[in-house]
Amino acid sequence: MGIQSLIEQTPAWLSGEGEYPELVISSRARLARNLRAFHFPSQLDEDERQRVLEIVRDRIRMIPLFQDATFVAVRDLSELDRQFLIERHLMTRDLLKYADTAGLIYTEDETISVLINEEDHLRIQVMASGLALREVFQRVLDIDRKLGLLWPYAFHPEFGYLTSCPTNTGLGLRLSILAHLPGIVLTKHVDPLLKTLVKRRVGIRGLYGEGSDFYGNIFQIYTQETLGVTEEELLERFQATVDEILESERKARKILTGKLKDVLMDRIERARATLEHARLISFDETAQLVSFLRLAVGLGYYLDLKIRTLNELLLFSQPAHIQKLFGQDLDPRERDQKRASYIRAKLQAEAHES
Amino acid sequence: MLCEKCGLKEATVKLVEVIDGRRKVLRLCEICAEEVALAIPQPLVTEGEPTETEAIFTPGEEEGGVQPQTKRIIRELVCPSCGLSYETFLKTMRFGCADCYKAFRENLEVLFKDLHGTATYRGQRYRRNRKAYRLLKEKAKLESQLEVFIAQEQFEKAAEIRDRIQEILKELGWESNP
Repeated sequence: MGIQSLIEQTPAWLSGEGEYPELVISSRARLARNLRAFHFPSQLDEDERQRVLEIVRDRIRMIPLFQDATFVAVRDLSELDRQFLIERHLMTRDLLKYADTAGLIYTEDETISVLINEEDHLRIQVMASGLALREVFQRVLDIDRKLGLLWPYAFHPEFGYLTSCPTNTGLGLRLSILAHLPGIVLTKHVDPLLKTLVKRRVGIRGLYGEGSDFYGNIFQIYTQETLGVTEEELLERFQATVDEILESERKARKILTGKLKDVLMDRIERARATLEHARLISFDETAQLVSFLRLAVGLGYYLDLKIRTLNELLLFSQPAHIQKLFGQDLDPRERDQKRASYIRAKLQAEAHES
Repeated sequence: MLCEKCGLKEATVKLVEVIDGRRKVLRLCEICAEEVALAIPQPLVTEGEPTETEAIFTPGEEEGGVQPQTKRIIRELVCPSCGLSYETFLKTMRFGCADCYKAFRENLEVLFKDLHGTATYRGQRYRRNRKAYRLLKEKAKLESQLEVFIAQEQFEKAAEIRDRIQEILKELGWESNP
């Protein structure tokens, strides 16, 4: 599946299936791994990084799961395609650091991607729609066992898997969810949430990683422990924390649908009207408004709207996606216009269907 | 030729081992040669006496320095393998290679306790299964042969190869879970 055809599909991890997709957009498990025979990418010269890239590219095909996966060399990607793949969560901005020798392998449904020569030689990620932590956890560890046959990993009996950043040393495993928490935001409960998470060694940040804003009330919530816990303990603890966060969100939503219902309904209806009629709209505003629609669907209003459609609105409204959709480079003003027309068409099509 | 142990890097060291009077020649890369020569099954030394490299890079009496306290952070360490200094590591918070963990060993307990509240790894043990890798290589070879036989319409031979591939998958325990 080449990059051109990706624009025509919705990644499986945004299908709106799985548990609580109105609360948890997607679940993800990510491993950091290094080949024993090479220094970490930052201490390699370009030739050696290229060698790592080739070894991984060639050997990974021996694993049936990756036989038909797509390999992309970052240096062959245009600016727009790089941005597009970052928006799609198939690669990270950090993969551009050694762009000339970095690579990316992804499966057709986009649930698995392997980054080569990012901060570590390998970053392996598995994603799934909705709350599906055990599923992504098991899949990523299964892939890890198989990839671990292909080359010796850097591993130490006392410290575990050796990684470039000491925050990953040990399990090298990070579990995370993309959570939609408008109730907690609207009832001003974000600060207590942050405090609880710090105590649990759980991190939180915006949709696009470190330092990014909380677009559309969407939070990336992720584990930070890699030493002192087993894989299974990490999963169980994180699952428990996530359950608690979701319970707080449900409580907040009860408050919103109680005394504040008029205010809430007004915001929801205005959001829908704006999305259905706007002629110019930014991504930021889109994310905010789609959040109200997602909340409405979660509360059982708007039965004509599917979570999948809302996921698509969010994904395809991003700057590089809009430009890929319309097949051209657009300035910000043109993007706002095309975005508005994409959203109108999408919501009209949905209304016709139901 | 490539290193006979990891198969990833150029073999630059010839190692002759004599076991029960039988001579065995191994061609290895530097990293693997060091591992084999020191007869350390894992890349890093865990406890006990400092190795020669560690001793070199630990500031000692000859420089007029004081013997380091166990819990003190020692900034003068340099990784002999990739050249990264602990000073630079503290700025970037990135290790340069697996051997940095050995070179900076004395500081790591404090560092990991700061970062993680503990310095103990409790996850699964990793050991590369070389037999499984050989099976995978054989499978890859068979698959390219299979294509040729199919192209030549030699279906009997193709069927034999397919059976062998199935056997390999069974041996790997992957038959139902590709």
